[in-house]
Amino acid sequence: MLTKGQIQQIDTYLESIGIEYFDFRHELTDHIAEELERNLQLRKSVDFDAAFEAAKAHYPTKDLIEQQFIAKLDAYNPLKEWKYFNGKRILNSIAVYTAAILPTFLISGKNLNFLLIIYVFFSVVESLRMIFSFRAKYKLPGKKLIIYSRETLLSLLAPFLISVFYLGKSMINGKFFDKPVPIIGFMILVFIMVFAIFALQTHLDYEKERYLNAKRRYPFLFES
Amino acid sequence: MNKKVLYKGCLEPILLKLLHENGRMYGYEITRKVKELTAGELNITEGALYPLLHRLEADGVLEAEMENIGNRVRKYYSLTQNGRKEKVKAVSELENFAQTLQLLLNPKPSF
Repeated sequence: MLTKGQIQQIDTYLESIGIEYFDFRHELTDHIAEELERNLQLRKSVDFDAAFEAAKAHYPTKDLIEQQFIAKLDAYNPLKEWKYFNGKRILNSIAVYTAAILPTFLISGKNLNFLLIIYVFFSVVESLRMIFSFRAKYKLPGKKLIIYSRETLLSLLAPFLISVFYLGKSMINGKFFDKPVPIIGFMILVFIMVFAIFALQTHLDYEKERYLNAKRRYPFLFES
Repeated sequence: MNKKVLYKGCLEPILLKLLHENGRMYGYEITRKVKELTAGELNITEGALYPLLHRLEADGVLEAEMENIGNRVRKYYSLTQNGRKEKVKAVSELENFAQTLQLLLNPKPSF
């Protein structure tokens, strides 16, 4: 049987080539370890390092990354997150949205671009705060848990990129003050930003449940 | 024709049948068992096996449990109730397919 240090060596190697997905790496470590154990038993003269080098060649990095990608896609189901979008959260998001677009009726059109910059800044800061406080609260075990999804990243980045593109264009053309963002465009962007923040909250609730379930079912995985 | 291509569509029923017969199995054990049963004719690569196992788990056909084995963690798969129904369906489809192939490859002479 391989020693703890040898298992760690396999695990560290997998991590170094980009296999970060928690569930998949456990499985792959076990697969390679078992193969190595069999090979070492069959060929007594071969040492662990030589057998491990041969195993590395047998599992090309490109194939492993591809498998990880498929494993991540299969395990993640965004529909499961919708259960966290409850009535209270929907009402909260409507209230925040209403409060956010109210100033558009009170300030002059020229100041709309400034307001948009403030909102973009706030939404980015708030999203990062949520992500970092989640990671600090739910300490990861030795192996990484992926808490982001393509959907989350896209919904967070989309309003940011659109706003930066629009405002950047106005600045380059020297029309930042003369050509404010149209009210309808402003309202849509704010809607996407508010939705993105609440979607992130929902996603983190889903990840929290996964984390707590894993901790309850497999406490030994969380032992350092 | 590439043997891998021919076997590709048969992997799911083979896997379900194996799990039905053995109760619970882990990835490496499945690859070994298939190789052993087919005398090395069919060699399931981990590239084909793990994505399939993960998809079936996500679809609720398989359930997984992790166990601490010495110095590492092992993931065991077994059929869910839904998986047992799926197994019957998938194996029967594969048998029909094999019979149809037989008819095509060895047609009975008509008089």
